[in-house]
Amino acid sequence: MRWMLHKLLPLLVLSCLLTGCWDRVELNDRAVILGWGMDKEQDGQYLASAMIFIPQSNNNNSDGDLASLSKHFEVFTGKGRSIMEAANQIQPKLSRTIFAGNRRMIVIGESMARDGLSNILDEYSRNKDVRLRTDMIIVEKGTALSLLKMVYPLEDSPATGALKIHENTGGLADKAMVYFLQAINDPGKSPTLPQLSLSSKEQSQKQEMQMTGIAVFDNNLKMKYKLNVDETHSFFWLTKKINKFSITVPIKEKGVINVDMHRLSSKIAVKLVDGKPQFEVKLKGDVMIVENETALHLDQMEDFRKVKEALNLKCKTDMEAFLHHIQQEKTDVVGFNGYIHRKYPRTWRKMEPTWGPDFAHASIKVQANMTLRQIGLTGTSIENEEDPD
Amino acid sequence: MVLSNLPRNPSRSDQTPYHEPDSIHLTDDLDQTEHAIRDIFEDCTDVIFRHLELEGPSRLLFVYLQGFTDPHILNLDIIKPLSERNRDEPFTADILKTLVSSISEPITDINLVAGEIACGAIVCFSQGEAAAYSIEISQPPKRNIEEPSNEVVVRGPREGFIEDLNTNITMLRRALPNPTLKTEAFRVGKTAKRKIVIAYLKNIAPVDIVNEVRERIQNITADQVSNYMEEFIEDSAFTLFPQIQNTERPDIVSSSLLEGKVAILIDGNPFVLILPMTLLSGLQAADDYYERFIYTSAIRAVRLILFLISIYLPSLYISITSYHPQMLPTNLLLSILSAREGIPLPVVFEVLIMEFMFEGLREAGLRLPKQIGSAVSIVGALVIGQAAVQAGIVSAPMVIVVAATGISSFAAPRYNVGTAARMLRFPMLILAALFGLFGIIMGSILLIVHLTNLSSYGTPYLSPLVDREGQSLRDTFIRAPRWMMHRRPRPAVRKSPPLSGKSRSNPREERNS
Repeated sequence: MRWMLHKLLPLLVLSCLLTGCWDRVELNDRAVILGWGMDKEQDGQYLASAMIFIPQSNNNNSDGDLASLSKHFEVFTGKGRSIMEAANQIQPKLSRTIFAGNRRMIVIGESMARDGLSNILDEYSRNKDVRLRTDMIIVEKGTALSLLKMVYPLEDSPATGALKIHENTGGLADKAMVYFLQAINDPGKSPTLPQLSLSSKEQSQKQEMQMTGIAVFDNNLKMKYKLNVDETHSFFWLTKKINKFSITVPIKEKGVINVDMHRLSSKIAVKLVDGKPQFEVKLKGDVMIVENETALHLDQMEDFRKVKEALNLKCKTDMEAFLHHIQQEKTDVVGFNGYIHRKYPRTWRKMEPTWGPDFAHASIKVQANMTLRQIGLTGTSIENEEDPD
Repeated sequence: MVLSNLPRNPSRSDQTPYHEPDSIHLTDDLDQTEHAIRDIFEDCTDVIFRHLELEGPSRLLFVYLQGFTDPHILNLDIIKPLSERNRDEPFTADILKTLVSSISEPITDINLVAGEIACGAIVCFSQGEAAAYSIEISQPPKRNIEEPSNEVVVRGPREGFIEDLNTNITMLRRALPNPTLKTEAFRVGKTAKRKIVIAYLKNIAPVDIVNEVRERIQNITADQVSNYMEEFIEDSAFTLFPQIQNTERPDIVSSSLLEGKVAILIDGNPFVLILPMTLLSGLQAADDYYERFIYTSAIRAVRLILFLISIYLPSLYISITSYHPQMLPTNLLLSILSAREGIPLPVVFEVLIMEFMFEGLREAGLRLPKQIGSAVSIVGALVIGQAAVQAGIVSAPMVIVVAATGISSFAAPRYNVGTAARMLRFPMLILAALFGLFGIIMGSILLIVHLTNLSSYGTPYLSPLVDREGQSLRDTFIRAPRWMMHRRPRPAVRKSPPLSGKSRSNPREERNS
């Protein structure tokens, strides 16, 4: 006790007199940024936009006026020749301190993405207030500002809307930035970001947004090209980011069958033949038929086999088309390099510098072996029952 | 009455170290003795002097307090047989002993005699003998045995201790019928000599602890003692944590004794002290042992979480909202932000005001007559809860935080453990306001260091968490089924216990000397 009184108490009292940094900021003195946009203007200047939450006291509209919800957000912009300059233009417009700790969405306009992201990424990973669990999205043929300013009816803000759309179309939306940063640090792998497009709704001024694929970047962090929705599915399947989606399988000369696929898994094996890598991709999954637009009798073994073959073929060709595309562009988005690195660590060191062009010539074989689990409740399609075929 | 079965040990009360009035020996002249006793009890209308002239030379004098002794019992049990006995035989103390069992050894000091009378005993003097005998057949007024209102159980015995010591001992005996249950009696208090009994199981309670309890009790030099004698015999005074448990339930005392603890029963007090106490025993309720063990284990987890909430919730709220808002989920942050818009005070003062008001409500509600109690709760709920939020003085999340903290502080089964948590949250709150989460962590480290330092009669306060024996963990965070707890949890006594027979002397006493 005496020790406490003699040593600790003066310390405690004196510490109250100390001046210095005190990072306490009252919650109501913070401007909470929920979405952040970066664009490159026509004149070469950068445009930073911050979607900021406007708190409204519950006491004033306690009747729960939902219509005014979208007004809770306001977009502030800043312009400048460099990215920092543009970002710094925002704070002078605000009466409260910018707080980016809850920023979960970074939106990037396509022009900015094509110009290169290397400048802006540093802040996103260095700032201690910023969380790494952030989604990043490219706006196809549009600006980040237009996305942040649109009215999204389902969620309270377009940033949340974009985040949830990304979540729903597969992939872990929260980890988009982490994956992006990881891919940057892997010299053989090409980073990717999801892409949204804005379109006008018919007969109204309101806009819609839609997931349109994946933007692929080169090693200078400039956007090169995009993968369409089908290719995105194959990409996610191969990188194990989704385990279910639906496809339409064409059956030769007979129509189509729609299936749900789940428990998707993929395996990539590599071996070196004459110093050149040969990959073997094995696809597996469970399939459930949801719609049969053919005259096939699914409860007959013969027709069942036909469907299965068609299904395997479809999965295989889709995957091959995707692989062909990325090989052509010399961008290894999947991370095939990692498989060589893990199996042949010594050889890999020699292969590493020329992996881009080498990847284009690597042979990749695809094998699909899907399991047809359910054909649905009825065997034959009702419409085509009379068809004797 | 039960006390009469115990070895009476008048010499123990002789050992009181403080100075008594000089001892005056009794004389063998009965008239002179009566005169001296009447002098001592001058102006005491309730002291009865009853003479009994026996045939022959024998003359007896009984002195007792009016309310304590039933005159019928005195007549039937003592006076009538004495008058009817064989007249040729001279009176001796042995004859008294055949009549009543609860009779003391001869007392020769007149002050001790007066003390016995003041305690409610009948003292018998006889002509020609320079000694007196005290007979204990007193039956002071007492209330009925009721269910203790502070420790209600859903299932389990519904009886609680009362103020009468003998009744309490009887209840304890009934709960623990075993000859090794020892009950040693003391008289403590300089001016008011109150009877105190320490109870323990001979072969189970560590001898060190029993000796220490004896020694500390004998060293008490207070004017009088009651339940607060806890303060004289506990290990550390400057702490928020109680180191001696108190209970009104005989079943808790009996199970504690079986664990090797020592109980102190105080006359005139329905609360029995149990020691050594550990922090975790403060979080165990009687119900725990009557309900099924799975349910009990789950409830213990709830209780522990609530205990932590009652210490930490307001400070966590402050530090997270004003230092680390990035820790909040976005939607929660936005709703707190909206709720706080327009609140004039910083969050720290908001918490302090609300906590202050809560403590005020609790304190006011505690002492109010029952009829007005509902008025307080209405005012509290309306004024503080609703009106303050609507007027924009405090925010709604703050009311939730304070209310949750308040409720959880009452979830500790022992009231004084909950009090410790309630007090602790204020320093935590200030640390959080000054330093954020860093402050809370620093405060917690200090708290853990403090708790580790504490001990109760040589038992570490955090025992059995800090014990090497894994067995004793079976009755801590979970309650294992009874059949798995086959080993007796012994209070861990440190190898060299810091037991020095210390007990805090009365400050008033120190000033006098």
